[in-house]
Amino acid sequence: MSSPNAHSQSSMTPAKIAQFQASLLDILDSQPDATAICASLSSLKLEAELVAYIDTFNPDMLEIAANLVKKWGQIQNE
Amino acid sequence: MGQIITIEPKLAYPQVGLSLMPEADFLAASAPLFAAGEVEVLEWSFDMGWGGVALPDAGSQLLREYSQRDRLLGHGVSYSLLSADWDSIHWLDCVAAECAEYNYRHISEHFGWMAAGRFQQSAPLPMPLLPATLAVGIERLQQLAEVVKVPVGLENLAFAFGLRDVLEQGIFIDRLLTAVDGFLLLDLHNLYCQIHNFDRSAPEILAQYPLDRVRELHISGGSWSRSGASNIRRDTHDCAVPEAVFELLAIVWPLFPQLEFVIFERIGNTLTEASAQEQFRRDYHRIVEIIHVQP
Repeated sequence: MSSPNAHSQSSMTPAKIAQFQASLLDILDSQPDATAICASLSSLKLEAELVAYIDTFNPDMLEIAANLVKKWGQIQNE
Repeated sequence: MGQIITIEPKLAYPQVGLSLMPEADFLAASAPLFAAGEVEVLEWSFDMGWGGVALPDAGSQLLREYSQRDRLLGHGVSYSLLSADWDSIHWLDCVAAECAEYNYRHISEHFGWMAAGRFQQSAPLPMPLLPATLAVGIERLQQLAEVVKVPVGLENLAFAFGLRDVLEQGIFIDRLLTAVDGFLLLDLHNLYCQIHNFDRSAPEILAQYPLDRVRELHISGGSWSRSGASNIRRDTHDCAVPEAVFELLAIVWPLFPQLEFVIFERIGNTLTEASAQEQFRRDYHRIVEIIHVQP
């Protein structure tokens, strides 16, 4: 998996990490399978370090993560 | 005359105990172990109780007794250490109240994160080791240590998105713990999950961890999930302990000079059958035998 939107120079901040974490949970919660999850992750605008990180994701583990988030995820004020 | 204080001698071996669950089947399955005085230490995942999970009177009494005997450990589930944008004030207020009510020997939490954006909670997930993620984790761990005023530690995760997580987690945890002189809670079933799911050896993964910081071990069973073409081992705490985890325990525990506690975990509502309760007690006795017999 690789993203065409990878930034060549990093300026990683807590806000960007938080944005990545929120997007990751939304994608895991909403996408039906590993192919769709990978496609959604690749469309994110991410710092180079995070692009390199998601490139290491194993599709089978992504599906497990998606099942976990769908099972245990609690939305605020839900 | 000064006050007479009874101090229990330091045991030559780690104390073996249980993670307390509030469900009736768990309390029934574990009652004979408590009655026989075989549970040397008790661990309580206190933030389960904050979510409205009621602990029966028998469970509350156990908490009070083990607290009074200085044999109670605290274990958090939902602190979400590596969440970059999560308001931890309420959680920290609750853990402060928890520590005022009970005498916890130490407090542990999980490596990773589970809250972000619109999700107040999900599943524990890893993050890569980066300067920014390390800074988030250190700040949150320091906040926890300041509030609880007892040693704080971190548990290794079972789940990994990929091999990078497996090989990096021990290094990440080492740097977090170094910042607070914390301890490692090494979950051997979580380690077993990563060994199987990523086809690695125990020595290869353990080499990344600060083994001199291991103060507590977790032992549990789990289950298998089919994902794609793979059988994935998961840390579900709902089945018997695999033989491989017992073997791992026997080999590794003497390697940890600071090891004090070995805790057996099993979730409630999985022990309704008499045969499952008997298996649960056999697994516990097997752990005790490994820890107490081995020099």
